[in-house]
Amino acid sequence: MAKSYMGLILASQNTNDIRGLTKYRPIASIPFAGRYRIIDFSLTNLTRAGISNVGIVVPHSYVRSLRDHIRGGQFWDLNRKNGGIFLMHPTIDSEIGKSNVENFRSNLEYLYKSKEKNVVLCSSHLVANIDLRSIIDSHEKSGKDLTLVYKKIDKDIKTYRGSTSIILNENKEIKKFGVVVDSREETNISLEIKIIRKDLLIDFLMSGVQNGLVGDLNKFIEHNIHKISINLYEFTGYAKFIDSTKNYFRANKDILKKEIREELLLSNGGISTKINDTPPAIYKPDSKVSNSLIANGCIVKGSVKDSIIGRRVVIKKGATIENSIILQSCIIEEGVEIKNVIIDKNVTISRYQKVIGSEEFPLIIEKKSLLDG
Amino acid sequence: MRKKEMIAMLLAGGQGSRLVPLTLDVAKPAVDFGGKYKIIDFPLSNCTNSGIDTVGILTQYRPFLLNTHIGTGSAWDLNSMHGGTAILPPYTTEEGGAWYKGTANAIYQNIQYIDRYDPDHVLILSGDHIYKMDYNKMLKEHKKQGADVTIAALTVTLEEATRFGIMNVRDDNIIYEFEEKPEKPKSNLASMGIYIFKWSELKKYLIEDEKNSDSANDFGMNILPKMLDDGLKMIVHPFKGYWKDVGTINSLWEANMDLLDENNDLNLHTNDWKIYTSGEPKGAAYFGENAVVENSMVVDGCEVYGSIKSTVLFPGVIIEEGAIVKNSVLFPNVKIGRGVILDRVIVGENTNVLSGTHAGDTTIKVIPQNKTIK
Repeated sequence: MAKSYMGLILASQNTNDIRGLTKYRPIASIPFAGRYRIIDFSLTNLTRAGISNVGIVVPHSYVRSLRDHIRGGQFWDLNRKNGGIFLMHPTIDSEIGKSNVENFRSNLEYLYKSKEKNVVLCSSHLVANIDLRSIIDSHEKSGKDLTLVYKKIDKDIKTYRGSTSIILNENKEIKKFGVVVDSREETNISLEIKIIRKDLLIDFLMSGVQNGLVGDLNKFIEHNIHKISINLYEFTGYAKFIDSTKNYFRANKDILKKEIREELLLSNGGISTKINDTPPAIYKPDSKVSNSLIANGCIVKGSVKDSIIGRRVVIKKGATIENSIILQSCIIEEGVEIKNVIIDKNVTISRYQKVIGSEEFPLIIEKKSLLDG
Repeated sequence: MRKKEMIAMLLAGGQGSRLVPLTLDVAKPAVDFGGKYKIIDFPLSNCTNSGIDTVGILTQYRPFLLNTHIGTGSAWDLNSMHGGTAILPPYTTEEGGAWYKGTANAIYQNIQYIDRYDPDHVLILSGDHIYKMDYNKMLKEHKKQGADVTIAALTVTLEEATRFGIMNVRDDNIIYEFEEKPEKPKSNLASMGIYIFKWSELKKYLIEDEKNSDSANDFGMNILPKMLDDGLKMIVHPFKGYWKDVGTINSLWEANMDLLDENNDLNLHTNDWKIYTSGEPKGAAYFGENAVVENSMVVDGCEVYGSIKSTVLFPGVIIEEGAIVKNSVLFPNVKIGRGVILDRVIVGENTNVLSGTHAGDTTIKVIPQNKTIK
């Protein structure tokens, strides 16, 4: 069944509100929860459902980080002879290369050549562990042209600000799409997961480009909803978009909660990611760790509280880290005090420095380039 | 088939009878070690780090988990188009079949596999030891000296020497005498069971040894003494660094404890000689509000709510609040319940210890795998 479905991941989200972490990478490859990259969720959701042909629509620049993470797709079992992984680059001469639609048009050949008849479309900035098999089942049973996955939100509404809202009529059919702005009014939001026939998607693309439409592919399908029949699927589990620094910080902190950790990282067989061959972490006699996630390869002599620590971070004696996210290979020297901070890869914080942000606005320390002295 | 300068043959059929019950379901090379590894990961990683891309793995005793672990060899970058790993169990021919009778017979039965690569030299390894070693350096020495056989050697104490194959050498490292487990050792140079042979010579001796029905078909007992008698050039390659035979429960425990010393010679935390292993990735380790972690090794996939001290945890281990675990090694997916106290214990894979105090003394206590202790 899943053999007639291919996956498409849109990895070219707007990075205006998460600039500090996207200077050298797309949202898709931002490290998450000490171990993963954000795109791991979409890649795992697709491949676990039996999909073995996945295209990724990559952004115009800074693809190196994503490419380094995905490699040949082997970590998601996507190193296949038939199908496998396909990075869809914008072509050099495209004038509007930043738009998904133009990117797609120039990569149409991949869509034509793929033997699957249907497409599961999703976005790389969604953090959710979803059993897509049951959504494909629902799509097949419905016999509709399009299945759209949504989530009803009635709390933490502000964390979904900017997401596409779905306005239903009294018969629970889609009336129109909007954008979440108000933080009080409960609503339904699109999780940007759509199942659609491939020929229909190609039609929409061709006619759209011809009629001068540019923008996000999701908007593009939404433009055509009145012409097609739609099946709605409600997802009730944990789902957050990583579209701002605040949401990134919140979603990482959510993993510290047992029930969210179990749902996101353990249910449905867990989330696959690139294997790094990092040794286990070492905790010395003076270390103190509480309510924290700490990845392989760390050497911990200081204290860590309410924080997420990535691979190969060294935390020296007397250093204290609280309510912070530290990405891989950072060195936190002796006596350092860190609170409410996100520290990107490869940064060394020198002895007895105090780095303190506010809980509402965590401070970001940007990644150190190996070329900087 | 492309010709290879040297291929490796890894003897991985060991039963590990002194590691029972941990070896009831798996061969010794597949026993867990060091928070996420299996013993065989060390020689396999050494091969790939030394630039050896063809490794025949000889299996016999309970091979299923070992075969699954090795898979295509991709975890060690050994899924090469020209070479890579090959699992070599005993097999039948038109004349019938036979188990591997001894280390030399195991290689004899796979002459055909080795010949496919037409190697100049063959490296013989065993899957029983924990160490990092550059086999390429050893090959360079072997070639430079024009040796027929090069044996990696470790300096041991004279008391320990009685348990090893001991080599007596001249000043230029040329061996003039080889004694298997001597009562009165004349030197403290012990064989590590790591040999490089000139393949053309070894092949001759293997065929000859097979014809001798009195032979135990063993490298240490038969092949090496015969070669020495015949005047072949045999040299030692001295090894310095961490090396441990984890053949007993106590030595397996000790080797795990060695890793907790920051200045241990094995040093898994360097990037220049990575040890690779296979297995699915798990999320970062989680520590609860009241967790206490001292001088311990914790790996991805663990959840610690209680207290651990001088302990090594493997993936998927859960320590409930109120549990106290000291000086212990907990294999994958072990669950330690509230109020349980462990000291000097190894707990086998998938076992739930839900109550009680369990402690070893001079010998380490083993709680077997796949059990529930209520």
